[in-house]
Amino acid sequence: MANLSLRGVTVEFPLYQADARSMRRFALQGALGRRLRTEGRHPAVTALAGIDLDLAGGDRLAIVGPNGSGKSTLLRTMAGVYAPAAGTVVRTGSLTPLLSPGTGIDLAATGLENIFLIGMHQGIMPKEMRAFVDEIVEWTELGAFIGAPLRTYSAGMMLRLAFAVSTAVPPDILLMDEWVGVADADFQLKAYERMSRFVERTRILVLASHSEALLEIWCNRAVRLEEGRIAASGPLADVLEAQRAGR
Amino acid sequence: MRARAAGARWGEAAKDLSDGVSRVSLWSALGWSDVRQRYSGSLLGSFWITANLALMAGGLTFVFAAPLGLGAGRYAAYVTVGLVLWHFVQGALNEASNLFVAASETIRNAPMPLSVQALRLVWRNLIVLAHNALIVPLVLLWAGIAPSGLWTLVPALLLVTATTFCVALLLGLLGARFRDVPQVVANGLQLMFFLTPVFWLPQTVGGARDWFVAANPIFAFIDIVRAPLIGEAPAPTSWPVALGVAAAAALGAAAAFGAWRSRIAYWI
Repeated sequence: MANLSLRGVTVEFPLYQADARSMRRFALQGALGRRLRTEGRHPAVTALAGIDLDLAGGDRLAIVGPNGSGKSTLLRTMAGVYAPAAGTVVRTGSLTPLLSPGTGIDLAATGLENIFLIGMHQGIMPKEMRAFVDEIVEWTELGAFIGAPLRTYSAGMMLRLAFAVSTAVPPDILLMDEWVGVADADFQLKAYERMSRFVERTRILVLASHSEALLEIWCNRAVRLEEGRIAASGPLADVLEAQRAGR
Repeated sequence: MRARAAGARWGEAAKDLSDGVSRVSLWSALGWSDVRQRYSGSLLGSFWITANLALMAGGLTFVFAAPLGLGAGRYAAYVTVGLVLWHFVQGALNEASNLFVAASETIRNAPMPLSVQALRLVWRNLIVLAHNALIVPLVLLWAGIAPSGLWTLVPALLLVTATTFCVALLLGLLGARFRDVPQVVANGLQLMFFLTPVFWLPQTVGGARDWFVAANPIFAFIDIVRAPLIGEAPAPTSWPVALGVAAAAALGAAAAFGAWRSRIAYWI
């Protein structure tokens, strides 16, 4: 069983450190896809407003929209990082958010130790991870380097390791912010194959990306965000077409 | 936020705490990783701190043992244990005021209870404390001082651990919302080093300063751990003050964490 349901979700970021008066002055000019709320004691950014979404097994949701439209915030709200100011998020099933590559990486620790550290940051306990270690080491082709500290790795080797760990244990719900598209072509093909196997075994996928090609591979439905609101929702092809037409 | 029931928020905070505490492998691994990262690459590694404490204890003994009317051995034992404990207090409190801000990357990107950050802080500081404490038996042997009532160390260290956890949550929350808190804490601790009997003796001040020493929570915690180690009885006020402070810290942490846990991600 996997379900993810958002009802009237609104997320506001308070701007405590900001100069309220200068914020008000510039608010009239608008701000890159974001809504500023300048009344009240502290100015706030309304990052999401009244989001309704229902995801069940088999759903592969693409989140599209311009910079600052709330894509990453929506992923983080689904992951439970941000408690909504209004509305509810209800979730059943295990969840892995792949939001930033290498969360949990310790440069002083060996590759092997980092497999467990990265795993723990994705909610996978060492006991569970142990069964996947051999497969991860083999896939990364790191060989003897797996016993060396991560600071001796190249950026590419680190990415390989982080990617392999992140895609080892399929969750019920997978949230991804576009971060896979950063490596040499050879790695991309290999990564693509691994990703396919990984995504196939998850029940729900939510992927935020600007790359239509990537979304067309992985997703079957889409929402387009604008200023934190759902501007369009439906089958992926329709949403992408409407977006192209709107340009 | 305002619309959400207070009951739900308290339930979430309680769940965060119990989930955090039960993930022993997570916070212990993160704590170890912190310690290792801090000292990786240096030859003496974590022994730098222990060596520094030993040198400081030696220097203070050289200057203060005679004027305070103590033998070099007694004073060396007193000041060594005091400095080791002070190092723990200072490290834990300074890190506490930065707790959630320092972990902002993790909090934004990885799903784990927020209380894990506080447990991780307690754990890594206990590791460093245990490491530094290695010089204590050496000094005691050299000074020929026998500990007494060592069993009281067990409740004393448990109380220190529990209080550190509560204070970490509380200061972490305050430091995330008000970014001046880490500065205030760092400056306050610098002053407290001189106002706390670490390298001077509580009975040497006298007058109105006596109640100040007795009411100093840092002294109370240091005293209940230090006294049995150097074969003395703690001041009569120390256990009551330490228990009172622990209870206040627990209440404060519960109230603050219950009310503001879900705001932390927005503040950092």
